Amino acid sequence: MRAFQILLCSFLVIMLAGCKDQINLEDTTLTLMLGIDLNEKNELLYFISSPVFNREAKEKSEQYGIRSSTIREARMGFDERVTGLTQPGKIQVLVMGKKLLAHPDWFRLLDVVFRDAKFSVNARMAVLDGPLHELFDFKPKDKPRLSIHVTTLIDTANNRNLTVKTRAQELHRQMYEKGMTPTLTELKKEKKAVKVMGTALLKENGTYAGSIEPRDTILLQMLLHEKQGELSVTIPIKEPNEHNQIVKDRISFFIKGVQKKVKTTYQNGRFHFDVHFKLRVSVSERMFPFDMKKDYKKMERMISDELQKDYMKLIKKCQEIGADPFGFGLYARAYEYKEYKKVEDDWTKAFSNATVEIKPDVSIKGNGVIK
Amino acid sequence: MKKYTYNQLSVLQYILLIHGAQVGIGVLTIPRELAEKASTDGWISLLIGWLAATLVSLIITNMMKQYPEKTIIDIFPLILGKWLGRVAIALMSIYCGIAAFVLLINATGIINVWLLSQTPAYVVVFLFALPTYLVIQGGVRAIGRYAELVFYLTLWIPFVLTTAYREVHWLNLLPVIKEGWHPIWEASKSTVLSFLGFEFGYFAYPFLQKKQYASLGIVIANTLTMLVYISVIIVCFAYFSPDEIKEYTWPTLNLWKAIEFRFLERVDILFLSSYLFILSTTASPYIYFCVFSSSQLFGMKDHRKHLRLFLLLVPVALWLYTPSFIDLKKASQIWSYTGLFFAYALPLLAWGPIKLSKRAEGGKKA
Repeated sequence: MRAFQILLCSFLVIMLAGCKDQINLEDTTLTLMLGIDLNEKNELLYFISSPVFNREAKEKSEQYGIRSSTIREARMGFDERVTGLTQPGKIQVLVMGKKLLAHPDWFRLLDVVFRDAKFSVNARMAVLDGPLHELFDFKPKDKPRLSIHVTTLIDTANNRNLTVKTRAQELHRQMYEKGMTPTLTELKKEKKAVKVMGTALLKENGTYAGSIEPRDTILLQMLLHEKQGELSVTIPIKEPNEHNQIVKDRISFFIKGVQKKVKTTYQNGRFHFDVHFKLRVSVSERMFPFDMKKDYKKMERMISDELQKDYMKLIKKCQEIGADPFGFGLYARAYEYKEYKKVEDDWTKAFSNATVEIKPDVSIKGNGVIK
Repeated sequence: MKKYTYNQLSVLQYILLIHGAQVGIGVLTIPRELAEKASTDGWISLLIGWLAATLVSLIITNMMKQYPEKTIIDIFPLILGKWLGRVAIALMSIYCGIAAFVLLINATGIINVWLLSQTPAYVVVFLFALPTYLVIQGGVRAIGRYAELVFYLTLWIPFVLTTAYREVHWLNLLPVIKEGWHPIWEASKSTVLSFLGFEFGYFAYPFLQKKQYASLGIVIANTLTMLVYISVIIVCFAYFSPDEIKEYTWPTLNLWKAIEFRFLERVDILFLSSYLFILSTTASPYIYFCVFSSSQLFGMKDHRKHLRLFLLLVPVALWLYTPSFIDLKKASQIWSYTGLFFAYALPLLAWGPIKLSKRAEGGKKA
C-alpha cells in the first residue's frame, strides 16, 4: 500500500506540471501591445510589441508588423519571427488605426479576444490618428519600453479624466448595448512623443464618428461616473477688463464631489432628460482679483453657467454626429421602457431628437490657502 | 436496526452537503439562461424556482420521516415489492450516475476551454477521479465533512466579487417586470432545475444525527443556494448589458475575467481552479449515491468496489470519445429531464401512498 502511495505521488508530480499545456517562461514572448491597421491598399496589418528579457539583446523590446487577415492568423506570422511563443494573455493595449475604424465590421476582427479564454480582456482600447507603424517603430530614449509607456500614459491620463479607459470587455459591452455608443482613447504619434488626444466617439455600428478633447472628456466622465479619479477644470470668466493683457481671466478648480440625478420623461414624441448636478468644488487657481468672501455666490453662479454652456455644446455635438457616449439610452430603458423599446435599434437617432438639459449646481467648498 | 449510525452527519454537514450538491456548473451559466428567457427579470424566476424546490424538499423530508432509519433505496422494496423495488433502485442508481457523469464531463469541458486547452479530456477527468476517490471512499460522513471544509475554503469568493461592483450599472435592472409575467414564468422552469441536489434528502435523512432539524436544514440549504444564485445573477445583470449577456456561454466566468488587481491579472484562472472544489462537492454526492445504490442492489456492504469501477469507467469513456460542446449541452438536458422526474415528480407521487400505507400500518397496530 505504502509503495503504491509513493508511486502515485511521484506519478502525480510528473503529470501535474501543467499537463500538456506546460509553457516555460523563457520560451514565451509576451505580447504587451497589439495593433491593427489598414494600409493604402486596404489590407489588414497587425503589429505587436513585446518586451525582451535577454541580457545579450541590446534593445529592450521587439516589434513586428505583418500582413494578415485575422489576429489568429497573424500569430503564425509572429511566431515565425519572434524568439519565443507569442502569448496573448498579457496584452495591455490594443491600438486600432483610425483608417480601420472607418469600416463598420472592424469589431468582428476582435472575435478571438473574446472567444479564446487565454486572451486578456483587460487590454485598454485605443485608436491612433495616423499610421500604426509610426507608433510601433517609435523607440524613445527617455521612456520605458514603448508598450509599458503607452499603458501608463493611458492609465494616468484616465486618472485625471483626460481620456476614457475602455477595456476590451467594456468595449464589448458598449458595442452590444443598444442604448449607448462606444468610446475609445484617442492617441496621436507626435514627433517626439505619443500624445493623448482625448476621446474618440464611435457610432452605434462602431465606425469612427468624431473625437472630443481632453477638456470635454472631463465633462463626459463626470456624467458617466460622477466623481472618479481627479477632476480639475479651468474655465474662462467674463469680467469687464482691459484688453491686450497676457493673463486671461481664468479660474481653475477641483471637483471634490458630484451628485447626479437624471429625470427621464417622454413627451410629444421625444425623450427629455433633465440632469441635475450637485458639484462641490474647491478653487485651485484664480487669474483675476475677486472678493470671494463677499461675492462667492456670484462666482458659484458664474461657474455653473459656464459649465452648463460647455455641457450643452458637448451634447449638441454628440447629437449631431450621431453618438450617445453618455448612455442616456440606459435611462430611457429604465424609466420609459415602452417608448425606448420602439426606438432601441436606432437609439442614436432618437437621442439626436431628444432634449437634454443640464443644470449644474456648484457650491464652492474651498478657496485654497490664500485669500 | 440502526444501519447508518456509524456514519452520522451533523446538521451543518447535512445543510452543506445538500447546498454543495446544488451549487455546481449552474452558477456559471444561469445568468445567461435567465437572460435569454426573461432578460433582467430573471431573478424573480429564481425566487419562484426556490419556492418550488423548497416545497418539494419539505415533502421529501416529510416522506422520509415515516421511515427514519431508512434511505430511499431501503424503502423501495418495502413499498414496491422485491422485484419492482430492485428496478427502482437500479433506476435511482442510474439517475445519480447520469448526474455525476454529466457533472464530470461538463467540468472537464470547462477546464479544457478555460485552462488546459491542449490536455486531453481523459487526463483531466482522471486527475479529478483520484481525489474524488479519496473523499468518497470514506462514506457519507467524509463527504459531509468535505462539503463543510469546501464551504469555508470558498468564503473569500463573494468578497473578491465585490471588486466588480465598481463597474456595475444598476440601471440595467430597471424596469422590473418589463415584459409582463409570461417570460418570468417561462424562465422559472429552468430555475426549478438549478436547485437539483435537494433530492439528497432521500439519502441523507437517515444519516442525520438530529432528525428534528431535517426540515429546517433543507430549507436553509435551499435558501443558501438561492442567495448564492441571486447574488451572482444580479451582479452579472448589472455588469453586462442585457443586450450583451446572451453572447457568453459562461457569463459568471467572464465576470471574473474582467476583474484585475495591481498584483494579479487573470483572477478568472484562480477562481476557476478553486471553483473545482465547489464542482467536486456537487459531483461527489451523486457519485457516492450512485455506487451506494448499485452496491446495495448487488447486496454488497462495501461501496468502494463499485466506486473504483465508476471512477475508472469515466476516464475510459472519455478516452474512447471526447464529448463535443453540443454533447455536453444534450447531456445536461438529459440530466434535467431525469432530475425533473426523480427530484420533483417522485416525491409528489410517492408521498401520498407512503403516508397512506403508514397510516394503515398504524391502524393495524392499534
